[in-house]
Amino acid sequence: MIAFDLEKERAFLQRLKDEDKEAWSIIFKKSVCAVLAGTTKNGFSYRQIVRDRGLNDISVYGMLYNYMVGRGKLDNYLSNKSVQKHSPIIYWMRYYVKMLILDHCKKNESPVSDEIIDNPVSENQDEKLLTDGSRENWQSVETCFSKMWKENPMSAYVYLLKRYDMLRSKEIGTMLGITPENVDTIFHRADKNMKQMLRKEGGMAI
Amino acid sequence: MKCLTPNELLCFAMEPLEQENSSAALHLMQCPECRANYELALECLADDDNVITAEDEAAADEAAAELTGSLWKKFYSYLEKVSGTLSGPGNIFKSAPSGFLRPAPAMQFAAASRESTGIKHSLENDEVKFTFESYAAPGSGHYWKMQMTMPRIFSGSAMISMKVTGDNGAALDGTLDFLNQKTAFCSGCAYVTFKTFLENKGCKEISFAPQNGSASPGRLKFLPEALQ
Repeated sequence: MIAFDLEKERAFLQRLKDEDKEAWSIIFKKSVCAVLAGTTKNGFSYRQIVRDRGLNDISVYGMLYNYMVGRGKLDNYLSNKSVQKHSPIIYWMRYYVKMLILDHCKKNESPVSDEIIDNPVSENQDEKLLTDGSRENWQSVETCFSKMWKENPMSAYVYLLKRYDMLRSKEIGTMLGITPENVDTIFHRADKNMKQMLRKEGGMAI
Repeated sequence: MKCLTPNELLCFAMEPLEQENSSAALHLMQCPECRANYELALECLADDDNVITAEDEAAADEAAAELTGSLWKKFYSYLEKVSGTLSGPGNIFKSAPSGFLRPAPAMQFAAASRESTGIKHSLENDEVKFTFESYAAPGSGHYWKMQMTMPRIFSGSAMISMKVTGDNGAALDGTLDFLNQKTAFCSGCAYVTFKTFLENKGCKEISFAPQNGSASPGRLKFLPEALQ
């Protein structure tokens, strides 16, 4: 992971604002190309998605550049004063590269890779947690989850990622430096723990 | 809790296990949209492992050079000059600053910056044309090219003609989203007043949607025939 140094990031941001060629060249490689070389959660290659719609790497780069410079969005990087921490600009840009690609896909149909756009957030997943959706029940979940996070953040985090299918056990394991088997064990314990706490709270069954 | 910003999502993804992330995690449980965005943030970190090819490395400088710097700056430099011409005292109707209208396109703006706008040239046979082009390549089904011909006389009501063509130069019907407004094109043609153009000149976004088709974004692009 890229190390974060606010002063360096500020200086890099200024170079981007000054339309420094070298700085933008780094964005092309480390943000645009890094995203395009990857795949979506559903296994679609970003590069293929883009090509299906008649674009190429430079097109995506152009869209990012226009969005950031043309619409003055670069300042947003440091605009949230309540947040003391920031992610490196490279990651921040990658996020917008993905957003721009997905936004472009929504406006431009493709028979090949439309599935990623339709990737609906599963309502069933919410139902697992909020069986009747009542405010009281949600407050119980909030209380129990906050307690779990306070006692064991890793357990609560694994519960969050697995419960909502955000990542597979292998990916979670890589991220947290544990084995996929450990991830599954942690999740099962957290799930059991959550259910017990909710029962004590008199909340919903999940 | 409000929805999380990209920076907050990325910070949470980078250092997930901190105590202060509890409220962000709770928000993710409630908000499907932020959850989807958090997945993107996680992907962004994982992209570190993606291999950047030698081809990408080679393209980087070229791509940066193409976009940063000159085109829009030159374009704005031109607009500043014609805006000044329009708003100058007693100069409601003026001719285009002629420094832009000489041959050798690459040199024209540099020359213009050195010349006084008062230098008179015959404009009878000169036209200033700006060309915009889709990011999509010809033959992709999303390709378009828009050529905007500036008026010879600059007044608020002067009209700028716009012509959109697709593959093989065929005129396109559709809607152009440019200058913060949507303009319908019939047989590839539409007009916008010079005043509207100047009022919205800060808008760099442009996209064209052919009739019954989807919008395809583009950019300012001088072609060899432009400004000649």
